[in-house]
This record gives sequence, C-alpha cells and structure tokens, in this order.
Amino acid sequence: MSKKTAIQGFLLGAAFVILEAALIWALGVAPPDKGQGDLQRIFYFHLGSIWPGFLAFFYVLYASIRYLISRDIRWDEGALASGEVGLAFSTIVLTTGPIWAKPAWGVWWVWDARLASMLVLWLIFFGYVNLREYIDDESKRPRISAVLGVIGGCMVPFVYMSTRWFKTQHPEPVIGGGEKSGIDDPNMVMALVLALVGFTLLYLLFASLGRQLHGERNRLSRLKARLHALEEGE
Amino acid sequence: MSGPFSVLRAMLAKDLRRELRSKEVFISSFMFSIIALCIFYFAITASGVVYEKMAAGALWICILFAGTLGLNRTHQSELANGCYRALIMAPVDGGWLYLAKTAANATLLGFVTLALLPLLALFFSVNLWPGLGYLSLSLGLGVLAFTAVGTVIVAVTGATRMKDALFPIIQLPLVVPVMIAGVNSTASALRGEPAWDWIQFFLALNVVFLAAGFLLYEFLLEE
Repeated sequence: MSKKTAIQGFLLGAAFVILEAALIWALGVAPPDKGQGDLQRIFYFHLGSIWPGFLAFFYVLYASIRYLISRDIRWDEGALASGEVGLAFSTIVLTTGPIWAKPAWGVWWVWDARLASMLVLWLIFFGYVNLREYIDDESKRPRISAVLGVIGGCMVPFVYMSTRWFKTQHPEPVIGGGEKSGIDDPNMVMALVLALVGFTLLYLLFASLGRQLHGERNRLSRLKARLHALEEGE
Repeated sequence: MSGPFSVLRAMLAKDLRRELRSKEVFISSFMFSIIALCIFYFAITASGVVYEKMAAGALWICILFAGTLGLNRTHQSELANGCYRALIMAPVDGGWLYLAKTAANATLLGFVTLALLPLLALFFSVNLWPGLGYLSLSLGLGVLAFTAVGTVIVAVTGATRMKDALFPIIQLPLVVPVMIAGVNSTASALRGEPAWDWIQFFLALNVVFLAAGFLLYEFLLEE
C-alpha cells in the first residue's frame, strides 16, 4: 500500500467517524434553537460546507500561480480537482440555504449579500472547471485554465466586499433570527466544530482523489499519444 | 525592442484607425444599447417600476453588454488574417501589449459610453450637469476596470472552441463587482453626490486587475 493510499484511507476513516459524530451532535445532542427550533440544525452543515468551499477556491488560486511559475502539471491537476470539489461544496451551500430560508424567511431566495456573493462565486468557478472542456489543444489547456484560475481567485475578495457594501448601503427588510443568535450552548459549538472538521477532511480526501484521477487521465492520454506515434512509425 | 509608450501609441493608433474605417464596434455596441434601452422600457414599466429611476442601472447594463460585444468583436478581428500571431511575434513584452490593448479597448468603450449619455438624459430625463465630474470619474474607472478584466478573459476564451459563446459566460460573473460599484457610484453621481467609497473600490479593482493582467498576459501569448 503506497503512502498516498494510506493517507487517503486515513482521511476516509476520519471523515466518516467525525461526520457521523457531527450528525449525532447536530441532530440529537445540541439543543434546538430558541427562535428557530429544529430548523436551525441545518446550519451546522450549511456553514460546514462554506468553509471547505472557500478553502478550495483559495487553493485554486495558489495552485494556478504555482503552475504558471513551475509548469509542473501536478499543480494543474491539483487546482482542477480542488475547483471541482469546491464547486460541489458551494452547491451544497446554495441548496441547504434556500431549504432553511423558505420556512425562516418565507421565501426561497433573497438578494442578501452572502447569498449573492456565493452565487457569483459559484458561477465564476463553474466557468473555471468547465473552460478546459472547450480547449482542444492539450498543451494549452492547463496554462489557459491557470490564468482564469488566478483571475477568478483575485476576484473573490471583490465579490465579497461589493455585495456586502451594496447591502449596507441599501437596507433591506429585517431578516429574522441571525445564524449566530443561538450558538452559545457548548453542544451547539461542538456540533459546529465536528461538522467543520468533518467537511474539511472530506474536502482533503476528495481533492486528493480528484488529483489522482486527473493525474491518471493525463498519463493515459500521454500513453495513447505515444502508442499512436509508435503505430505511425511502423 | 521598442519602448512601452511606442507600443501603446502604435496599438492605440492601429485599433482606433481600424475602428474609424470599419465602425464595426461602435455601430454594433451603440445600436445594441439603444435597442436595450427601448426593451427596458417595455420590460419594466409593466411591473410598476418607475422608469426614470432606472437610469444608472440601465446605463451599466448597456456598458456591460455593449462592452462584451465590442471586446468579442475586436478580438475576432485580431484573429482574422493571422494578426494575432503577428502581435505574439512582435518583439514586445506581453505585459505592455496587454496595457496597450486594454487602453485601446477602454477608449472604444469610453466613446460608446459617451455617446450613451445624451440618450440617458433624453430617455430618463436626468440632469447630467450637477454631478458631471463624479459621473465621468465613476464611468471612466468603471469602463477601465471592465476592460482590464475583459481583455484577459477574451484572450482566455479565444483559445477555446466556442469563443463567442463562452466569452460572456466567463466574463459576466467576473465583472459583477464592477457592475455593483458602477451602478451605485453612477446613481450617486446623477444625484450630484460623490460616492468616494465606490471610487476607492474601483481604484483597488483597477490596480489589482491591471497588475494581474500585466503579469498574466504573457502566458496567454504562447503558441
């Protein structure tokens, strides 16, 4: 068993155990919220997926810069895998949000700063992940994608700031029960910490598996090209 | 090796001369904007929104979509007859090429925006004079920020199979902050008030993306 497989096995086991514990704490041990009751419990998984989502997008920026400097294809594989996993986590955020919002606010969606910025980030990284499908020239693919990864990553703070200022300049109807309103019970904190750690481990596992998958795929296409060249030579 | 300013001058002269001869970008972007302004009227008055209050939003939607059309058009014309390859082979640093290209694109979009202002005054009955200084600051910085991002992205999507279709899909989410800052600063300027926080936001956006484009454009020019 290689070192990588051992690490992935450990991540899988740890993520499984911690997420099970998070589920028990979030649904059973933590007390219901004073204002929202049981509805608030989705928050643990909602915030739990935002954090790895942001981590993933930050890694896309970092790995894209590293790729452009070193031209080492492994950085590109890492950036793509991280972007895909980040996109999946942001999709969880964007689906758990409305599920909570409908009973809490009465509508599925409002143009609140956090919702709007998450949606815009989702669109930006959806573009990043899918761009390479449309680049036929394989030698260009990682380079062009890395440039978009850097631009997308640099835009993240601006998206966040602009939507937030936009909101503060145009007050909207008061939204009942902020998420922070009930997090003072130690069991609630425990559920949140477990969810955060569990989802982060899950992110690391999926990003590592994704990177391996893209690595193998690149190797396969290189081997195919070599085989093709050999056949041509005969 | 030519100096950065001669690159800038040559690129500006080339792009503006080409535009003066063909008028492709101006006509497509400007006509599109007039049509868009008419469509807004019919689209929003049914919902009870006061059309006159939409001025800043309508102007920025026009800038965004007209700019997207224009950037696509100028890049397409570079690709024809191998002009783009000639640009790549020019003995010039990629970063300066990017700044020159951004300046040319921003100038073209600036002219379209300038031509839209009288229409804005006509259709939305706004008075442009009291906040003209703030208005030009907000529009100038906004157009520059839009083209700073767009000039990189049009080269990114230019390397793909679906150039024209993919460019707006990648570009528009990236310029949402430009749109938000633009609408808010322009709305303030039309009321004759300054919006310094948004102007600062635009300055930061311009510095970051002009620098990013300057450093990254070189990577897009490799064949």
